[in-house]
Order: sequence, then structure tokens, then C-alpha cells
Amino acid sequence: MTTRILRTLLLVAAIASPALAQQPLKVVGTIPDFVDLARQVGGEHIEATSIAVGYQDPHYVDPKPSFVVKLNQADVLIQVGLDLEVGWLPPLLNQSRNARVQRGGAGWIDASEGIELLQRPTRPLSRAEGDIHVFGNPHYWLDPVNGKIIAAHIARVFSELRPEWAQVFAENLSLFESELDTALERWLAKTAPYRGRRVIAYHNAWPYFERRFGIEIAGFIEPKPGIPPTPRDLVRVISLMRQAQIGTLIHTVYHNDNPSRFVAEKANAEVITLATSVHGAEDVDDYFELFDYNLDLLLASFQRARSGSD
Amino acid sequence: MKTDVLCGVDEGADAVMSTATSRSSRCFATAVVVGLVLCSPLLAQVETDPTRELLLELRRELREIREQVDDRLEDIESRLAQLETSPEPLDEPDENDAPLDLEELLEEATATLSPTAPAEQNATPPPAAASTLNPRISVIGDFLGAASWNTPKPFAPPPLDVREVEIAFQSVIDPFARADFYVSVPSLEDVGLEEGFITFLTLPADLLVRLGKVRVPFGRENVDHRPETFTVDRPDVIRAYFGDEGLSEAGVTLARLIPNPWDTFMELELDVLQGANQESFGGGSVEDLLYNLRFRSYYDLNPRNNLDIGVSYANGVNDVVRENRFRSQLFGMDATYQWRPLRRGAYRSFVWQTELMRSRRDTLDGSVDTWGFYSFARYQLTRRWYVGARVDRSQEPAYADSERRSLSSFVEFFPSEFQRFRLQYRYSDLREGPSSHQLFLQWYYLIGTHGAHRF
Repeated sequence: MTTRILRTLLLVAAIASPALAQQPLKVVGTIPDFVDLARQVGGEHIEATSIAVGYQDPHYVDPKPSFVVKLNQADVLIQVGLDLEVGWLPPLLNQSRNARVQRGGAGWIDASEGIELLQRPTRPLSRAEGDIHVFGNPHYWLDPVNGKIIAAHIARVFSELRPEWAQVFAENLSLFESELDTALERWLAKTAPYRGRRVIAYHNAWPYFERRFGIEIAGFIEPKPGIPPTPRDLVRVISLMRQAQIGTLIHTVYHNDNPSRFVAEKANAEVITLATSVHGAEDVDDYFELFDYNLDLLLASFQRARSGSD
Repeated sequence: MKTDVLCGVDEGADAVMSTATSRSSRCFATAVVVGLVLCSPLLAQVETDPTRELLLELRRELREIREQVDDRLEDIESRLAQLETSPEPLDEPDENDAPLDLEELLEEATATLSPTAPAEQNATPPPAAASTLNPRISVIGDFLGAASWNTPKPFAPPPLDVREVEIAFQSVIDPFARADFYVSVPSLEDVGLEEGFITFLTLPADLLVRLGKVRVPFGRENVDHRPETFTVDRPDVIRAYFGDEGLSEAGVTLARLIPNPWDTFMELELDVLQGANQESFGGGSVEDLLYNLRFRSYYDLNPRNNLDIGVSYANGVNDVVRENRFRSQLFGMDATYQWRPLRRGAYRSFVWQTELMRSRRDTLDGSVDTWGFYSFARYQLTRRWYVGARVDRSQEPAYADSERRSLSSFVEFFPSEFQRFRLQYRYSDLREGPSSHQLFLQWYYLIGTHGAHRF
């Protein structure tokens, strides 16, 4: 009797499981870059949405109840980690009522795992140093090599959740990696003549980008991360730019650009607003275009600076 | 073979010697055997030429690699020294003379992907790692300076007051629950628990259950802690119906998301609480419970604008006279509209919030119906400056003839997100009494890691 019941249950499970498993994975990324990487890996087998939009400051996102609904239904949550989302993700997760995406759940992805982090403090910190990140600089997706690490992490979790599509995910990942390798070669070739070129940035969002493409950020307009500049800070940056003949100022799309424009005007430099995320500017629709867009702007500025000085 | 011979000797001796001698000789024999067994691989190594050769070859290779590494290190050090001495490195790069080899850069890029990278990264834990399992601890200070003219005693705060110190402990308990405790010290007296509850995070049926002392979600404003309210003082209607501290009770809260075809946030909450609030629900005995029911829905009008609407109903005992249980019923409606541009969200925002409350209070002389409302708006001028205003109208829950109207306006300055100054002016008048004016200067500050606030 028991055997018969068990057999029936197994049969029902066998019939039902493919139907259940064929549901696409619902993926929520805290930033659109992760949504694009998830799409590169998951293809048609996932439905992905982002919480922050590309031109929004990911430090400050309103924890709107509509995001609670998204997280409630999600199979996978991909987050930046390193306390970047600490101001808004915890209350959303607390209300999500979804064990899959809680810390340690099957669908929880902290994309910073496995990344070689930069600017990890080696001494005790205090808030007197501004809005600092005690675990290291969180803008690591701005290095395409880290994009590969994140994509591999995503593919691993997707395959664990949907083993029947593991082969597809692996093929997609492999394709993405080879495309990124080709693109990386192109980007490095483009930037090679300008390695060591110095620029100024508004916010400290670029250490990974800086390291990969060999530019050197000589200073920031923000005196400390997250602290708006005072006139004295602007004077400090202007004199630095004049002294070191720095002609390019990198601005971030979500910060007020008045200080950057003022400094650039006084220092005879130009402001370029780079995208910090996918969809951070028009024509930046995927992870590849993010680097194409930023590097094109940057190199055009370097070329203009050179022709101006000639 | 050697072992066999030794054993044979041992067996022969055993036949003629005493028991003690035989034990010692057995020990000796065993030691010899063990020694030989241990030494045999070494002996074998010395004897086996091919293995030895392999070992020597490996050593040679290792030495070569070490030499190469030393050479490269020297090279890197000399390059570094050159870089340090040159005043303006690479200020004018030449496109025809690429400073670095592309192949090298690509190699560097792939090296980052080597499996050792994460392990190396974990070798030195970040400074905060040691304390990550401790609760997040924070302290909020709320200092208030007040000047009042023609203000009745209960409504006039002291001229200088550390109005509240709030100490928060927040942590995940295990994969299934978290705990939040907020200890408050109002006016540096009477330590109390403002809130202290456990939240079960992973219950089935989209349920969220809290146990403990909670700020009761009757409307929007009541759930905020006093140092974090939008204005210096709580709206008059909240103070009239629940007192200065608002409604905060011990009990259990159950909140469920309501599934709907539009995937809109809709939540229904039922709270069963121990009613001890002096203003509306404090007159009952221990077994008299307070029930609160709330429905909340939220709509994104577009990514920048949203609307939050809620209705609430609370029912509890306000007094017991000669076996008669007099109940109070409270009805509430609230609406909040918020605007924040996504691109420059840190610099501009607007919020408008309105709540309407109605109270039906049973008394010996029949039921008393009163009502009150407030409407509040705040606009963010720059990253650090905000201005706002609030209009109030309220009645005391037991006196239908009472009426208070007031108008407040304020300006706020945030040096950083961890401290805030607020200057607020308030004009109010009672139906029968003089008009009063008040001026407040509030300083709020936060240290530690305070959990983010609900939206």
C-alpha cells in the first residue's frame, strides 16, 4: 500500500516538476549592470528587472513598496554588496517575505564575492572621513574583467536553480566571455597610448576603471566621499589642475554638475559626464556599450586636450 | 626480509627468557622494526637513482624560477624608483610610442581571474569583519531649544532639553528572524523601550509577523520615532489621541501581502495588542486587548512620482465603570504623495502627507465623536536645505467642544545625513483661549550604524 502511494507521488512529482521547472527565473538586480549580465547568461530563460535605474545614484534609492513586490516574487537577487545598498535594501528584504533572496538563500547573489577589491581600509575608520565604505570601494563592475567574474557567479547560481538549463547557461557564459575578451583587447589597444594620463573626478567611483585602463585620477572635487565641496575645495582642485595641466574632469551623471563646470572653466579643462551603469546615458544599452561610451568620451577629450596644446 | 629475521630472533629468545626480559626485548625489537620501516623510504630513495635525479632536477628548476622572480623584482623596483624621481610622468603620451605592451595588459587582465585571487583576498579580513556578528548599534540624540509665548503649561516644552536619547540594537537572529530594539531616554529620565520586537522573515503565505512592543501602524506618522518625525512636534491629532509619544504597544502584528493582477503593493495588517495608551485605550483591565486593522496600497505613478494610501481602524477599551466596558473606536485615512527625480535624487524632492482621524469614544454620557487632521509638505531646495509647513486641526477625544488649530513652518539644514538642524515656528489657537506662538531649534544627530527606515 505504502509503496503504491509512494509510486503515485513520485509519478505526480515527475509529471509536475518539468512544468514547474520550465518557469523562467525571476531575477532582480539592484543595478541595471547586473540585469544585463544576467540576461547575457540567462537569455530567454530569465525575466530580469532592476531596482535602481542607470542614471540614479545607487547609494540613495527610495525603498518603495513596489520593490517589495518585485523581491517577493524573485527567484534570484543580485546585489553589489559591500554596504552600497545598506541604506535601502535591508528594509525591502525584511518586508519581502521571500526566503529565497534573503542572505544565505538559494537565490542570494552578492556579486562582490570573488572580486579583488580595491581601497579596502587597513586601519580603523571613522565617519570623519566622509561616507566611506569599510569593505572596499564598491564600484567594481566598472572593470570589464570583474564583469566576467560576476557573470560566472550568476551562471553558477542559475545552474543550481535550474539544472536542466545548466548547459545553456554555460554556453551563454562562454560566448559572453569570449565576446568580452575580444572587446577588452579592443579597449586596451585604444587606451594604451594614454596610459598614465591624469584626470580629476567628482566622486571616487572609478578606481577599478582607472586600474584597468591605466588612467590616473589625480584628485576629487568632493573633499571626502559623499561630502559636497566647499569653495575652498574648488580652489584646491583648480590649482591642482592648473599646476599639473590636467585637461579632463570626469563627472558622474547623478551629481550636481555646477561645481565640476565651474572648476573646468577656471582650469581651462573640459567636463565629461561618464556613465556609471548600463542605461546611465543614451545609447548605453548593455555592458559592452558602457565601456564603449565611456572610453570614447574619455579618449576624445584626451585628443582634444592634445590638439589644444599643440 | 630484515623484519622476518628479527622476528625469528625474538621468537627464539622468548622460549628461554623470563616474562619481564621477553617484554623488554619485544619492545626493543618493535623499536628497531619501526625505525627500519621509517628509514626504509629514505634508504630506498638514496638507492633509487631515477627518483633522486628527478628531485635534483626539480630543485634546479626551482632555483631557476627563484632567480627569475628576483630579477623581475629588481626590475620592478628600479622602474618604481625611476617613476618616483621623474617630476611629471607621462603628461604628454605619444600615440606612436605605446608605453606598455598590449599582450602584457591582457595577461594582467586574465591574471585577475586566477582562482587564487579570492583566496588571497580573504586572507586579510576587513577591519569590520570581527564585529559583523554583533548587533548594529546606534545612538540618536535629539536636543531641543524652545521659546513659547501664551502657551498653556502642558504644551510648553522646557527652554533647553535633551528631549530624547535613543539607543538602537538591530540584528538578524538566524536565517528565519531578526530583532530590533530601540531604548529611549526621554528628557534624560525614565529609561523606556520605544520598540523591541522580533520579525519572522520567512513565513509561508506571504505573512510577516512581529512579536514584541511596536509602534502601532495606525496611519503613517505614528510609526516614526520622535527624533525622526518630519516636524519637531508630532501633529496635534496624534498628540490628542495618543499623547506626545504616540501609540506604542506590546503584542503581535500580522501583515500579509495581497496578491493582485497588477502586481501592486497591497498589504493588510492585523495587530492584537495590550492596550495601555493613556489617551484612548488605557482604561481597560489587563485582559482587554486593543485591535488595529490597516490596509495600505502603494502606486508608482511614474518612476519619479508615487502615491501611498492607507486606511486604519482601531478598537479598544478606554474605561471600565461598574462592569461597563467603554470602548474607543478610531478611524483613520492617510495619503502620501512623493516626488523625487531619479537623476538628481540627492538634491530635490517633495513630500506631501495628510491624515484624517475620527474617534468615537463611549462614555457614561453616551458616545463622543471627535475628529482631527493634519496636512504637511516638505520641499528639498538643495542637497542640504529643506523647507516645509504643516497645518493642524484637532479635538480632544473626550471633549467634542474642544478645538485646536495650528500652523507650523520650518527650515532644515543637513550638514551630512548623520546630523540635522531644524528651526520651526508654530502658531496655534484654541477655540476658547489665547493664541500662542512657539519657536523651536532642534538638533538631531546619529552615531553608529542605524538601520534604514521604512518608506
